Amino acid sequence: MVWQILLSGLLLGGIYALMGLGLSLTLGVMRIVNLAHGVFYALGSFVIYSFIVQGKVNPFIALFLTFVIIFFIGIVVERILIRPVRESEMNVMIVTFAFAIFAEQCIRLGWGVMYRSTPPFFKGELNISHIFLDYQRIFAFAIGITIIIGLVIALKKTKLGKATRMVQQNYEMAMLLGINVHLISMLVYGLGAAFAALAGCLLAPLYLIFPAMGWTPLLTSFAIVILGGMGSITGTVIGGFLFGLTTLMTSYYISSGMVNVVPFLAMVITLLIRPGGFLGKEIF
Amino acid sequence: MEILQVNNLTKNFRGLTAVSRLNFGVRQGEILGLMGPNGAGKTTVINLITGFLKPDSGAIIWHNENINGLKPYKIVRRGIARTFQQARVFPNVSIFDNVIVSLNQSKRMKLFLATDPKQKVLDIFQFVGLRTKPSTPAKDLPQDELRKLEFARAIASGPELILLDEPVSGLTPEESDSIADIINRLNQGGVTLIIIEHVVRMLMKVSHRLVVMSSGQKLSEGTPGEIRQNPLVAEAYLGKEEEDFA
Amino acid sequence: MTDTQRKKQVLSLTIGILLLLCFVLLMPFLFKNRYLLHVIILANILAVFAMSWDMLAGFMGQLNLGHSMYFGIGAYTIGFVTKAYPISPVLGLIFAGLMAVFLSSIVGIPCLRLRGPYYAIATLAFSQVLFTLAMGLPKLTGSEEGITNIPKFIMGIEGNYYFSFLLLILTVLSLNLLYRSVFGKRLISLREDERLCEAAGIDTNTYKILGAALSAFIAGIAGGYSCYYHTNVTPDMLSISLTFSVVAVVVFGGIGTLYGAIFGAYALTFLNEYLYFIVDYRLLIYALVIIIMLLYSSNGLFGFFKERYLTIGNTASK
Repeated sequence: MVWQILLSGLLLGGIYALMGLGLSLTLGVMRIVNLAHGVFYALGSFVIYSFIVQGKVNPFIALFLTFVIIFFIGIVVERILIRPVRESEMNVMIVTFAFAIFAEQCIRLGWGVMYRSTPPFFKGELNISHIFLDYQRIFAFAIGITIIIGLVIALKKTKLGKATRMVQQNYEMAMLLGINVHLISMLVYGLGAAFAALAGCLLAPLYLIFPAMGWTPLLTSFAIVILGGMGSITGTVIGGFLFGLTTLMTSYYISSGMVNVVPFLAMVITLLIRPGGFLGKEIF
Repeated sequence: MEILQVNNLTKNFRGLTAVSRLNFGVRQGEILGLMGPNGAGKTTVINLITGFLKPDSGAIIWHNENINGLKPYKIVRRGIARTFQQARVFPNVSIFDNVIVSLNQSKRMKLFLATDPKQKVLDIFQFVGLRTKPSTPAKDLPQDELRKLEFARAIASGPELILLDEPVSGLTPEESDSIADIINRLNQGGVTLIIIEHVVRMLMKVSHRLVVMSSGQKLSEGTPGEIRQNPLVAEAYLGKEEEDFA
Repeated sequence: MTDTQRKKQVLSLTIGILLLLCFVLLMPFLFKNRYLLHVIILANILAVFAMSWDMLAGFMGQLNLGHSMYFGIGAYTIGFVTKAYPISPVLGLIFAGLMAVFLSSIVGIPCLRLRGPYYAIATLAFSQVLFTLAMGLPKLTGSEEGITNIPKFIMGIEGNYYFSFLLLILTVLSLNLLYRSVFGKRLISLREDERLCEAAGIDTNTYKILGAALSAFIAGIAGGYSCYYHTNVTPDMLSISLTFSVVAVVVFGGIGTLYGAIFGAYALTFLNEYLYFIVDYRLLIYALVIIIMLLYSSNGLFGFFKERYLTIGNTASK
C-alpha cells in the first residue's frame, strides 16, 4: 500500500512540478507576483473540456490547442495588463488578482457553476504486482516530465533560453546588452500561463472542474516555489514532487477535505523558518 | 573617555573580506574621521555599528554594553544615529513628518530644549538651515536641502553619536563648507561624530582625529597632521583617485 | 496658501459637513423609501470595512489579500456568541473586534518578516484556510448555509440606518486622528521605507502588528454588525470575493486617501443594488473597474483631489 501511495504521489508530483515551474518562471525571470496563475490552470481545464466534451475533438489535439490558446492569452495579458504597471509591485499584484477574478467570472458566465467532469485520455490502469496506476496519471506524468526536460534543454541550449537566463540574473544588464526584454517577458509569461493550463488539462480528468478551482492551485504553486526556492528549477521540481506526495498522503490518511489545508501549513511553516525557501535564494 | 569601542571587528561577504579585525575607539566629544579609498570597508563599518549588518566576529562596545547584533532601532534608541550616502527620506510624506517620526524625546541631547515636539522639529530645521516649507513632500526637495533633511532626521532621534556616511560627496566646496559648519555646531553642542569620507580635504579640516582604513583593515591612526605625513597613507591612495588626496 | 484663504476653506468645509450631517439625519423622514435606506446601510458597512483595508494597504503599504477573514471572523463570532449566550450587542461587537485582533496577531506575527508579495500570498492562504474550515465543518459553522436566526440588534431599519452612520463617523474620526498623530505617521512611514524607519528608531515589527490589529478591529466590528443586520453569517463573509470587492472599492475610490474608500463603497454598492440586472456581472465589472483604474490613473478617482484640502490621509499636506 505504501508503494501505491508513493508512486501515485510521484505521478501527481510531476504535474505539480509543472505548475510550480510555470510560476517560478514568471517569478524568477520577470520578478513579478502573478496572482493569475491559478486562473490559467482553470482556463486550461475548461477550454479542454469544451474541446473534448462539447466539440468532440480528439483529446490529444485538444491538449495541444489548449496549450497554444492559453499561451497566447498569456502574452496578451502581459502586454496589456502587466507591462504598464510593471514598476509597482503592488499594482502588478492587484492587476493580476483582478484579472483572475475577471477570468473566473467569465468562466462562470460561460460554463455555469456546476461541477463538471472530463473523460480521461486513457482508460484502464497498469497493474504491477498489485500496485494500480491509472494510465491517465502515467500519461500526465509523462507529458509533464517531457515538458520540464524540454524547458531545461531550451534554457541551456537555445539562444532564447540563454537570453532568458540572462534576464533572470540581471534585468538591467540584459537590457543594456540589447536583449529584447519585452519579448522575453511576454514569452515567459505566456509560457507560465500555458504550463498552468497544461497542468489543468492533465488533471481535469482526475478531478471535477468548477470556476473557482484556480485558487488552491495558485496557493499550492506558491507553496511549491517558496519551498523549493525561486528561480531554482531543481528546487521547484523537487518541491512539486514533495507536494504531490503530501497531497496524496493527506487525502488517504487524513481526509480529502483537509487536503487544502496541509500544503498551506507547510508553506506557512517554510515562510516562518526560511523565507528564501530551502533550496534557492530569494529574489524580493 | 571612550564611549564607543570597536574590537576585532570582522565581516565577510561570500568570501570577500570587507572588514578585518578592526580596532578603534571614539572619545566623547570628538570628531573622528574614518577615511580610506573606495572599497576600504568604511560604509560596512557604519552598517555594522548601527545594526544593519551582523558582524562575523568581534565586539562593538557602546557605554560598556556590547551592541553587536542588536536591531537598528534599538541602537538608535541607545543614542547612535546615522545618515546615508544617498540621502534617504520618506518621499510621499512632508519634510516635517519625516523628522517628527524620528523624534525621540530623550534628554540626551542638550541642543534642542523645546518640550513641544512641533517646536523641536522647527528648531532642528532652523539649526540645519532647512528653508523649504515644512509641509512640502520630501520627494520635491532639491539635492542640497535633502542632505540637510538627512541631518535633521538623524538629529531628531536625539543621539550622542552620529555617523555620517559621505556627507559631502558630490557637493561644491561652498555646499561642503555649510555642511562642515553644521558638523562643527553639532560638535560644539556636545555631539560626538564619526565622519566617513573618501574626499580627504574636508575631513582633514574638520576632524580631531583620523582612522585610516585600507582593504578592510586599519592602516593608521592619528591627528590630521600625523596622517598627512604618513607615507603609507599616501601610498594607499595612489593608483586610486589622486584628486581625493588634494 | 495664505491664512485667510485657509480660514475660508476650513469654514466652507465645516458648513458643508454640517449640511451633510443634517441631510443624513433627516433622510429617513424625507424619503420614505426603505430600500434606499437598506442600500445606504450596506454602503456604510462596506465603507467601514474598506477603510480598514485601506489603512493596511494604502497607508501602511501592506497588501493584505485575505482581509475578509477579519470581517468574517467578526461575523462568525457574533453568530457563535449570540447562539450560546445573550450578550449586550455593543459588548458583542467589541468582542467581535477583539477576535479579529486575535486573528490578526496569529496571522501577523509569522508574516512579520515577509515582504510585499510573500505577505500577500500568506494572507490569501490564511483566509482560504479559514474559508475551507467554514465550509468544511458543518456542525460548527453550518457550512454553506451558515448560522441563521441571529437575534436582531436594532429593530427597524431607521435604527440600523443611524447606527451604521454612527459606525462610519466613528471610523472616519478615529482614523483621521490616527493619521494626524505621530503614531499614525510612523505607520505611514512603514509604507515609504522600512529600513529608514529602523534608522529613525522605529520598531517596525511592533508598529506593523499594532497597525494590523487596529485595522482588524475595525474590520471585525464591521463584520459583527453585518451579522446582526443580516441576522445570519455565511462563509461568503470570509471569501476571496469579499476581499476582492473591498480592493475594488478602494482602488476605485483612491488608495491611501481615506475618503476614497467611502466614495468607492457608495459608488459600487449603489451600482450593485440598483442596476440589479448586472448582479451576475458584479465581480466582472469590479475587475474591469480595477483594471481600468490601474492602467489609467492609479490614484483612483479621489486621487485626483489629492492635492487639494480634501485629503487628510496624505500627510504631505501636514
